[in-house]
Amino acid sequence: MNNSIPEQVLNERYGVTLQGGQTQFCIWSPSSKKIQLRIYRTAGAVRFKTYEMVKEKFDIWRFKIEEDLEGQFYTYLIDDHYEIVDPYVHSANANSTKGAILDANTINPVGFLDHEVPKTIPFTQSILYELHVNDFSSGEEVPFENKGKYAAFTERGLTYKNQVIGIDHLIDLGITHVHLLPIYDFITVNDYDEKGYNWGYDPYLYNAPEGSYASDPDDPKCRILELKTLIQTLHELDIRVVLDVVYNHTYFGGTSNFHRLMPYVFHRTHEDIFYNGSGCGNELDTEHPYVGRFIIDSLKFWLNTYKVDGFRFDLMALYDINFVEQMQKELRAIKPDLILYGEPWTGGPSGLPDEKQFKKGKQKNIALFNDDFRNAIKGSNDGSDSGFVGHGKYRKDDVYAGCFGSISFSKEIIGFTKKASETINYVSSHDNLILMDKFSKAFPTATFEDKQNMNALSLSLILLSFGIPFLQAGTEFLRSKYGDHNSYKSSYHVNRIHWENKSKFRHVYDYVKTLIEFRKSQRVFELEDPEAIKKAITIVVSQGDVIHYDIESPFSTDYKKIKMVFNGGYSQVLIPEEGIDLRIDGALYYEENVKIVDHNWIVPKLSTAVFVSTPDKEYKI
Amino acid sequence: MKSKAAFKEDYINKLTNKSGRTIEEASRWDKYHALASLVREYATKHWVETNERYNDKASKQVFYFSIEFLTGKFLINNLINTGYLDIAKEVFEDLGFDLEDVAEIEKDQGLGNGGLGRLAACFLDSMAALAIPGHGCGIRYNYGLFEQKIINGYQVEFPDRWLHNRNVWEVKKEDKAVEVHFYGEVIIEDGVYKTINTSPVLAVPYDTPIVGYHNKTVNTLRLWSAQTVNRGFDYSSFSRGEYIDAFKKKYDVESISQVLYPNDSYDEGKILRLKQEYFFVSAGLQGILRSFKKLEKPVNKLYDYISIHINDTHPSMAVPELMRILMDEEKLGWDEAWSITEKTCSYTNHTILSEALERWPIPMFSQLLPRIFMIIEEINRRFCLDLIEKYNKPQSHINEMAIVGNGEIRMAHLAIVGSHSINGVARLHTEILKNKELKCFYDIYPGKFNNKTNGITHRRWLLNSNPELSKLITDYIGDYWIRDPQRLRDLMKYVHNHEFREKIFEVKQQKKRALAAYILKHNNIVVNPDSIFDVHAKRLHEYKRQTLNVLHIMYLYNQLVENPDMSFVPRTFIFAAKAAPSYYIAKQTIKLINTVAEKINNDTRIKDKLKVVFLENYGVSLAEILIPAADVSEQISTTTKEASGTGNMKFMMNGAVTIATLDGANVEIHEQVGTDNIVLFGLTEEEVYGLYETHEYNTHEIIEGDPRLKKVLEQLINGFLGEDSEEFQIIYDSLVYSDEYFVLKDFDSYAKAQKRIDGYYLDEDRWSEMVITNIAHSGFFSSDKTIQEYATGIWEVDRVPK
Repeated sequence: MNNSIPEQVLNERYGVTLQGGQTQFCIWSPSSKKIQLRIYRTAGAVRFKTYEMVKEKFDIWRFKIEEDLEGQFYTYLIDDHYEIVDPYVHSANANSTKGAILDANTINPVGFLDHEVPKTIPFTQSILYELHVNDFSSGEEVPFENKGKYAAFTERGLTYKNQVIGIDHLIDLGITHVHLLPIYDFITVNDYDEKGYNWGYDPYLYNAPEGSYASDPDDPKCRILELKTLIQTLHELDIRVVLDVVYNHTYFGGTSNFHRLMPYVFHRTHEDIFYNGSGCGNELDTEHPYVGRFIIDSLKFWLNTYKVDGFRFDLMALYDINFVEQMQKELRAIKPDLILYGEPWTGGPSGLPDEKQFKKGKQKNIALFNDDFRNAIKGSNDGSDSGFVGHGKYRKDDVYAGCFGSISFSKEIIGFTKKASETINYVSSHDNLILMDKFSKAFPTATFEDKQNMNALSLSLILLSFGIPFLQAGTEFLRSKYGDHNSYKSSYHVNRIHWENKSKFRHVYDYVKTLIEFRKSQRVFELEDPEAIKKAITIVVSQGDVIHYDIESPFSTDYKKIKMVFNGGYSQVLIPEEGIDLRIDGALYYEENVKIVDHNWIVPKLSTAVFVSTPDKEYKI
Repeated sequence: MKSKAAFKEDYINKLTNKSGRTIEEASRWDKYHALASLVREYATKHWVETNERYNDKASKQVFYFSIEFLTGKFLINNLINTGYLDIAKEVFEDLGFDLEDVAEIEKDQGLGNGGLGRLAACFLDSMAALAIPGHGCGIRYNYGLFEQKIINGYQVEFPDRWLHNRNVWEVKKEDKAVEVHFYGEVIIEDGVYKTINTSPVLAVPYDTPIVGYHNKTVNTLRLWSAQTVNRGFDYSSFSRGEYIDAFKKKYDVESISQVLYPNDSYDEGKILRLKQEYFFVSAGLQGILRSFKKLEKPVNKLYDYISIHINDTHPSMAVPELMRILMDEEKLGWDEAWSITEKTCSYTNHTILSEALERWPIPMFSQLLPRIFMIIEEINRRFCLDLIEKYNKPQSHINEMAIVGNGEIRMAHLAIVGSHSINGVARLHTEILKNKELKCFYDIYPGKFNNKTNGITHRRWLLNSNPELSKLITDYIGDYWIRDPQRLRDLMKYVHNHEFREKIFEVKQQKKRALAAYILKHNNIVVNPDSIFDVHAKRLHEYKRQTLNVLHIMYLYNQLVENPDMSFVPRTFIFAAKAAPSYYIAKQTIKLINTVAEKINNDTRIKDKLKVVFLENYGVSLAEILIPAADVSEQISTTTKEASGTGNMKFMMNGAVTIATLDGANVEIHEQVGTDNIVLFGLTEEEVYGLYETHEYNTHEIIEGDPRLKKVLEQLINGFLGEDSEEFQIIYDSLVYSDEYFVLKDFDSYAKAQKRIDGYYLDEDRWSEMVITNIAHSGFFSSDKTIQEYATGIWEVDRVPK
């Protein structure tokens, strides 16, 4: 952890620069004695031309060739021993054995540079949708032409079993942000393997797009263009793009290109032992100025070059708080409405002291995944226990806290946020059992309808709470992964979104869509200020597994009063019918719904009901 | 020569007549059948004329007896040789047919195990091309060499149903059938020996035309098929109520030509094999003598008109059988018959490996072939007498050299004694025969021994398999080389020519891409055509040391795993080989290769730098795709074991660089291209014999002294490969405790040689020079040249062109 890195090293432009018919290569390596540049003409070429890099002051290595080598490839041979790919490259050949000589800023689809990006919305108006590129479009029977690829996102007008699928489904659903699982170049999928699969939490080349999602992994421009097209397409449909970024570890530790270039600099180490706070073998040393600079520059690169709208940080507690502060400052200077959120935990004991870790409580303008709310709603991620939904073990105050944006609501109801926009409310994500599978495990004897309703109830809590809702793709029609709790490299059969289920569970989809529409229609959900939220909410005390509260919106365009009833147990809940009308019926039973019996609204077991005050019933939408 | 229009008309007629369908309805088989029939028809005219030519001039004819003929497919080759390839392509294009696709449907005629059978086929092709009256004589096996499938990494054998669809090329000549007699007793009748109460077998010949290149000469490959003498079954058995016996006899008889023995070593005591050998020898000789009689020339001048060539020891019974015919049927005396026989017969030795030298137990032999045995005994008696009286040999020598001894009949000795010429198949091999293995015979018959280095037909192996390279060569030096392949030397003019080098590179890339597509289709492995294609294609045998190659690959893999970023020239190692079904360790070697391949190909850590591929069902057709795409040719047999090798010549001709021990014909390849253009390694002949003599070979010392080797050996049995430790125990044990073939000893030298290849390959200029030099000097190994040498040096036959 060396803090005396010269400014010039931090400010240097590394990687390849193409300018005025010249190609320049620049890399920092404080330990190498000799670096040879190898230029390969084609993606698969075995023969190369060699040049000796020149070492300048402060261990900056440089070489300039009087030729425009765009489209060719290169590697560095360090000390005659290690042939590595430059970590600064913007693209690579298939399986990343060589870096590409090009600048991603100059490779743009038609209309990309000045295409219209979606307008700014308050963070709390976001509806995040977590999606894996391959999951979106793979499977033998679905009608996508570009199965498992970036290009599948451009296919419009697709239907399957009479249901709209693909990107049109996203528009119909009404989400505002697509959060893509890693699309930087990860090393654990063979780019040529049609059936290859991995989530991608195996970073290799941080600034290059992943090759296996491109239609031609050997053409380095292809992946850039196709990814940019994906982003542009979504933007033009008013959907924003969030990238899942993993600057907490690299797939290769002691054998990584970073380690060859600057041994023990890039990762947190103690002498020659690598700390393993990620659970994947190593962690990046964010406190090191060079590393911090690398990460921030990389983020800025994605922001500027690909025009993304947000980042999700994996295992964010491995970042030290000073680094996060700096990073946030620089990113928001470019795009103030950039959405930033992350997991406030590590993947194991870290080399970063506890007080420096970016955990819950340390956030400022960055949202964090809310595990408290999550656990209160469903229980543990993989266990057979359960929470609020299904009459399990939980603290009711935790559920309330989550519903109210995890602010400090009262003496008993306390969350971790200073404002509601700091919480990412979620109940299911790529990790662990997916929602439906969790309920199947916790309630092995439950009927299908009950489980279906549990799903719906959980999603209702997420979508109707203060804070930022986060949906895992496919849960809107009961997506299952056959009980696989860690499907990071399971086959696409397990991981794919089973579009055929949209028609099967159409009613669930319609319900979720209604929730989203409702949320977007009511400005009250935008509130993030704790005082404003406290003012708007009145808890209606109830026995048993019932969460019941009223919201009075300060916004004139909203319903005057909204009554939320979440019934997590097996008994019916009776609500006096006086003055309220049913707005959303969340009882998805075939034979039961929310109805009036003897002057009381009956909310069936495991169901949600949203009521609004009677005079407003005819109020718009 | 027909015009395109005439050809087209003929073809369409053939197609519609043979299939009874319209052009649109015709299936792929119909299209093939019609084209093949048409070509055969065109050839038949010349075939008949050629035979007339030979008979009219009473030219001396050679009969090449071989128990194997590995001819491969005929269609494209015959189209090339008749000169109709381009026309056929055009006609097919006009009709909207795909010639390549249609040609695919022909099954390889795979009546051979490997080099021996393929040599015979190349020789037939050259004899026809040179208008030398030479014909092949062998067995028409219903099932050729097994079809090999790889299942779970193991070789699994399936019957080769090559006759499943009709064989369009052969013509059955029922009227030329002869009887071959087995068993029975020998009696004397009117002073002449006869065998009575035999079990006769009808030998029916099937003739296939061997078309000469552009020269209107067509020779014959005659393959004999066994049938019962009375067609159908034994009615007497049947009527006696012995129902099963009636069929049994039929099947017993037909089993003779049922299947090719898939072995390079002889099958000890397999009576069926013995029957096979006698069967085609007797049938062949009877046929030859019958035709000879028509010439009305004196039989005591037989050798002026007939030359019988014995290819390896399998047809050795030609010697006693010819004696039998001359004495028992032509009524000649022993001495005269013997003189004729010796002058007529010549023998090629193909191996020094003792397991391949045939020996038959006397009881089996004498019961099956009483008269032949009798003759052999007499030959032996006279020979031993000569040894004592004429050559003053001590008893120990006589025991060693006798044809009959130790309860066995030694067929090699029989062939040597009965032939006027014995040749080895490469210079080194012949020297080893003369100085070691057959030294005793060389001492008494020095004049008989000569060398005829093997060769390959450039028509199949360059013109047919690599038309792109052929065209490039012709573009630069004209087409004279097609007639005289030694003219390929002219290419040396362009060895430094930048444009030529680039084009050579491009042709090779094209072939590599085609092979990469084949590999993807058949093995589902993606290989990089820019990597070094390192090919090891030949029969699987310990002396050919596929094991050495695999161990080295494991060593490379270990290096890469330790440092995936090491500077490494990417390689694709390609294996193709069949193992004899009863040769256990060879089959386990195949399993080892596939296991190693599985492990390496799926290891993403090593970033596609190393790939290993095992191609199924190696045969002539696969070789035609594989060889042109090779960069490196593995010819790494333990020095002194490979008699010649012929694969080495094919690779050289197609622009591959050889990594070689100085064994077999590699010696002569080295001479031709020079030390700079071949990569040598390994023990020399002297060193090998030295190790044998001193018995000092210590595997333990080598293993302990070389940690790389130690590691890969351990990996065979420590579970590293993901298989049961038992799986490769046999390979481990054979290497660590005996290492008969010096795999461990040559490991270091081999590894260094491979490293040198990396350096050469990276240097574009150096590599091109090596490639071009190899192609340019490959003409030396043309079988045309070899046959010329046989013709003048051994058979004394003249060319009889039209």
